[in-house]
Amino acid sequence: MYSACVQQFAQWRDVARPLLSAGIAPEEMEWRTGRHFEPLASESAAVPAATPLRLSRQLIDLLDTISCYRHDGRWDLMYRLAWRSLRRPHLLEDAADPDVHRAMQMAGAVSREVHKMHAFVRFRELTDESGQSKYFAWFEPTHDILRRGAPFFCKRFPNMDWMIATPDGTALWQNGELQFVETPDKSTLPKADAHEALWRTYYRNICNVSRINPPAMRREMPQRYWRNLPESVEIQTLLRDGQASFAQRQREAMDMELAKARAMQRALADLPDHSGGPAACRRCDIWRHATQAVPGEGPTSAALMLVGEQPGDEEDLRGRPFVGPAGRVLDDALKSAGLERGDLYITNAVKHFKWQPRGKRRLHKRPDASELAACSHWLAAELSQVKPRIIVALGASALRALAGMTDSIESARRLQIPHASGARIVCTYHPSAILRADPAHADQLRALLIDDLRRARELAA
Amino acid sequence: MELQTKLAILADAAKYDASCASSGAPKRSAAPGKGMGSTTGMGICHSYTPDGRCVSLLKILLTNFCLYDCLYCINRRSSDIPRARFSVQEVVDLTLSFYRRNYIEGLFLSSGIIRNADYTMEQLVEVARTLREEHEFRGYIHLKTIPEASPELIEAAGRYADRLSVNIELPTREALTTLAPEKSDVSIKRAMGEIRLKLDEHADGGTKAPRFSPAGQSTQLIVGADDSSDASIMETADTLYRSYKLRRIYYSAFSPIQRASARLPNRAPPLMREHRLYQADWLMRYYEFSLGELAQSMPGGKLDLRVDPKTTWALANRHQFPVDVNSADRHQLLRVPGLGVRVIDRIISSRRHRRLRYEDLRTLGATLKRARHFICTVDYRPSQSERSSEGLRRALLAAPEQQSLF
Repeated sequence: MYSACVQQFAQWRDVARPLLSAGIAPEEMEWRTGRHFEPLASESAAVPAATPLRLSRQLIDLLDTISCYRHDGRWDLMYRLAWRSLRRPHLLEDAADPDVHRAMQMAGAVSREVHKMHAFVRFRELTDESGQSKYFAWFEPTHDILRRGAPFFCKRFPNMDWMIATPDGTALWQNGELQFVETPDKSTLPKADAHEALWRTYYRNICNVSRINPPAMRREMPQRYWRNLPESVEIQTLLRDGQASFAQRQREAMDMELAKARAMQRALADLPDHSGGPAACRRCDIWRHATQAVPGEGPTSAALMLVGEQPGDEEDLRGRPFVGPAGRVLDDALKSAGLERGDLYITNAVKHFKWQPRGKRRLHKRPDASELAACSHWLAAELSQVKPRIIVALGASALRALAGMTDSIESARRLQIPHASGARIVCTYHPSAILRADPAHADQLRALLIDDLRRARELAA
Repeated sequence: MELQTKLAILADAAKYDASCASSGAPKRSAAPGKGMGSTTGMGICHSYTPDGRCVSLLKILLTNFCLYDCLYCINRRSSDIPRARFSVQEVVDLTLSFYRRNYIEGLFLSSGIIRNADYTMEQLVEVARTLREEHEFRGYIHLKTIPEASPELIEAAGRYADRLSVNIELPTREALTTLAPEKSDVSIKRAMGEIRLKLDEHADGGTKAPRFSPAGQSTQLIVGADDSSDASIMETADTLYRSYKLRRIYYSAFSPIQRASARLPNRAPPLMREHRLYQADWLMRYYEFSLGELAQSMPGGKLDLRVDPKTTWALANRHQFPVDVNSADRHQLLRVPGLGVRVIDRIISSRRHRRLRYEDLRTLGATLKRARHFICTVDYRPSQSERSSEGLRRALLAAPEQQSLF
């Protein structure tokens, strides 16, 4: 077994090259992400003698791109792609291959994020005593794209002094030279710019409120970017101004979302201490209409951890996970897969029950991204306490909470997904999907659930 | 008048122009020591407003005073909206200060007609010239061309701008005569023709010919202000594309304007119709469909608002399906509902390495909800190939595209 800890493409390349030319298989190599580069460490002897190595330009570019994708599985996937390409020269043309598919998805996400950086960076001007202007921006990218995204600004603004600061590093352009430096204290950056009022005036007036269409706006400008965009404070007013009746429903929903996001931000800001555990959690608003928080249960020594979406009606009342109808489906499936419920740690991605009224009943309502994000705090705490080898993601919400992936279960259950903790994620259907499906389809889904649980058991053994 | 107020009035006056693209310009960037700005060819959308449209350029009018009285236009002479006028320097300063803060890709400048066509055009050209020559501005510039402006002014506009456009607005001469009595379709088309000739000259002259509007020209058609059918709009579009080599046509659903003429509809803009026209436009330009083929499946000259035009066509041509994705050529694949150009590229590339199965298509990104009725793979044939087209259409409607709000 070999292992290394890397953070940048160049480091990965230096470690991977000798391994590849020596024909070391992907399973024999363990990759970790970290700020401190640790070159190749091996339990056995040195790498066997090398043969010359040829990788195509196209492959190198792809690997370089996906090395920016913020996910611990990237290094492993890169190595696997390189290793397989050496044995199957035209691998990349096969877009239906799961590794190639995943790589293309990741590369797409990285390119999009670079593009969004070019679009959404907003500079603020500061003039010093000598009358010299400098421009400052704060940007929060989802992936490690600062180095990829910065050169664009050198070409565009070669004769300005500017800085683009991100939580993980800062690009600084001074006297025609680009440097990457430590991020300064955010409070030292300018908080406003005199031109922002003009820009907001423009934004307000260029919007045609008779064709309000917030989903289209959100698709291209997701809410996570808004807090660094000065014009976004106008959005709510514009939505109110939209008078056409066809827009009514969308607008109301949008306002609700904004209010929720605000409430969440407030709650996060007001929370100095989480020692009350999930029971006292106010990181999002679901708790208001729930009975109680439902924590996970099971031995903290469990090798296998099951993560569902959120407690249901019965769970909410009983305060225990998977004790309602879906829990019974799960229990049967566990039995068929040869698993003892008492050996497992069972929890949910979201700890409170979110629902909407339907007749006299409370109907499950899927938690949204902000709620999953708010609750990820508690899931992370459970993961670090239990340290499972295998995590079973039951359904799309669990997959999203664990791996940030929005793939369908149908495709994700066939992928190898590593978790940031080093554990491996096995993805499968949520038992409630079986309850919702028509009888024939339900049997099919049940069989797949059992298969996947069995696979998880074997992997954990 | 304060700058803030002017900007509010002149942005509001410009928003009915749907064009926002900043693409198609050659790759260029500012040199060290002078100027600012770059273009990459791709275009960048710097923000999105709640109407779902992108904000790429600073899109404003130089003035909304206008001699004309086109009924569909918010800025018509008889409209009692507040009026304002920017000076050339104000527009230049605003563009530069927005650009410097990375709010925009450049400027899209249009204007109401004041004094006469040449005077108005001169003002527009002067803004572009100042930006380019005095400030070494390398960002994107889109100038509206005033019909009947002199060829010399159009030439100058093309020297400084990346894109030029003349809006034809109404699809038929009859509509134009009724709703825009002072405009003439002949002079609009002549202006487009003028631009086309200059573009050709440049293309023939290679790199030595003087630069002329490298991102070509575009125009806009208003949908729903008059009673032109979809078929006649598409026919006009087809003619315009062929005659003037337009990069693209914008379709703009007519939005009710304040104190509109009683001759205009006062209802919500027909957004779905606009969307279907864009789809039909794309089919003609990127999917090898001819106007005639599409027109055959448009009873009464109307696009089906509930089903997209490609599916409508496929339902009327069932004998061409199912298409075998493992052997069909590109042209056949382009006709399958639920398969887009990029998915087709992936199909062609990956089928060199494997015989495609149904699940592979999902991985490749096909929209199987529609495609599954029209394809076959190694392990799949549509079970309901006997089903009537009308039944199939109803089935496709029964599972409408999910209208997710967020």
